[in-house]
Formats: sequence, C-alpha cells, structure tokens
Amino acid sequence: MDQNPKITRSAEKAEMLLAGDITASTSTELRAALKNLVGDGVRELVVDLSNVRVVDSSGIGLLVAAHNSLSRLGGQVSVINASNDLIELFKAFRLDKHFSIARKE
Amino acid sequence: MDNSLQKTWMFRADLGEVDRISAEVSSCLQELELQKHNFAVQLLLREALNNAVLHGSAQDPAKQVRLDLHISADALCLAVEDEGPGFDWRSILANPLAGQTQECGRGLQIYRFYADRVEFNSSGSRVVLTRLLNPLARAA
Repeated sequence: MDQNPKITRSAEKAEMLLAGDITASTSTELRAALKNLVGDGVRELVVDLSNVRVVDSSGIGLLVAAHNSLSRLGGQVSVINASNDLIELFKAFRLDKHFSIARKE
Repeated sequence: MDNSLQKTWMFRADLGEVDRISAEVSSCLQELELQKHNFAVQLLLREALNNAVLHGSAQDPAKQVRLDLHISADALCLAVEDEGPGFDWRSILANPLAGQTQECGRGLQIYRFYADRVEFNSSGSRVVLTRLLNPLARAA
C-alpha cells in the first residue's frame, strides 16, 4: 500500500490526504513532507484524516510542530475528517484550542 | 464467548515490528469481539512499544522487547519490557502535564488517559498497563 500522502496544492494552501496512521514509524517521513511544504510557501495546511485510525504521541507532536511552524509565519493548520476517537484524543490534549478540527461526515 | 487470552511476543527493537504487532493485537481484539476497546488499546500498546524501541533500546536491533498480552473477562493487561536501563518515571509522573504546544512528552499522558492502572518496575524498564473492560467498572 502506498503510504505517501496525496497533496493538493493551490497558492499558499495545501491539502494533505494521509494514506494511513500517523505513528512513530511514519512520522519522520511526514515531518519531512510538511517541512518541504512550509519551505515551499504553504501557509494554510489542511490535514485530511479520512484514512487515519490511530495517531500516537509522535503524530500528535507532528501536528503540533506543523501548527507551531505555520503560526510563526502567520499561517494555520486545520484537521478534517477525524473520527470520533481521534477527536476525543485531540480534545484530551487540547489541540482543539489551537487549530480547527472537523469530524468525519 | 470466552474472552480470555494469554499471548507473548519477543521481537527486535524496530519500529516496523511495532506496526506488525499492533496489527496482530488488533486482530486478537476483533476475534474476542472487543473492537470497541481497539483504539484505546492501540494507543496504549504503541506508546509502550515505541518507548521500549526508541528509548529503552535506542533502536538497537540486537536488543529484544517483550510484550505479554493478557485478556480476562474483566480486564486487558499489556506488559512491555525492554533490555535498557529504564528511566526515572517517578519524576515524570510527578511533573505537570506537558505544555499544549510542546512537540513531545505525551506518552505517559496517553497511559493515564486510556489505562485504568499504570505500573512500572523500579528501574522503569517494564510497564504494565491495565484497562478494565466493563464500562461500569471503568466509570467507578
């Protein structure tokens, strides 16, 4: 299975459809992809979790890192299509206070 | 349905192995019709195994990590042990929650949020995470 995220880009906005879970074994590559996007001028990042069942502490750290990087540059992160379990996890870590998190429809 | 299971994995300290074993444990839960606990168990399991591989074993593939999974009618228990020197879990548990915008340090918070009991051995090289399976017991 292709684990590469599908990225749709328009000007300063990028939507990243992740192919699978965000865990310690995948977060290094995703971190590099995010860094490239920010370096390439992206300031609004939408992370689509349609295909994501689990986000471990490495994955939470990755989302926080993206938020921190873009905030410093006047940008923002938002998360879409999160499962109820993921929303509960993100709220436990108060991520919803820092960026928009939308439920899976 | 008999919901009891006892299983042990011994594996090299490699994150790919964490993915493989997490999938196997998920299958065990499905076979026992415990899918509703899968998200919590996956988080607990991955945190414990990641800590053992990344910190306890420094990703040295010559080192072994052991997982014991025990499921009874009332509880699911994960015991993870590595060959490393352990860590000072007492001071970490005593510290306040990590800042909301820090990029690491959430593993023990996940233990606290999804496990009903968290126990370390003295050195910190072994953790036992227990999650109660009965909703009434969990709420007590």
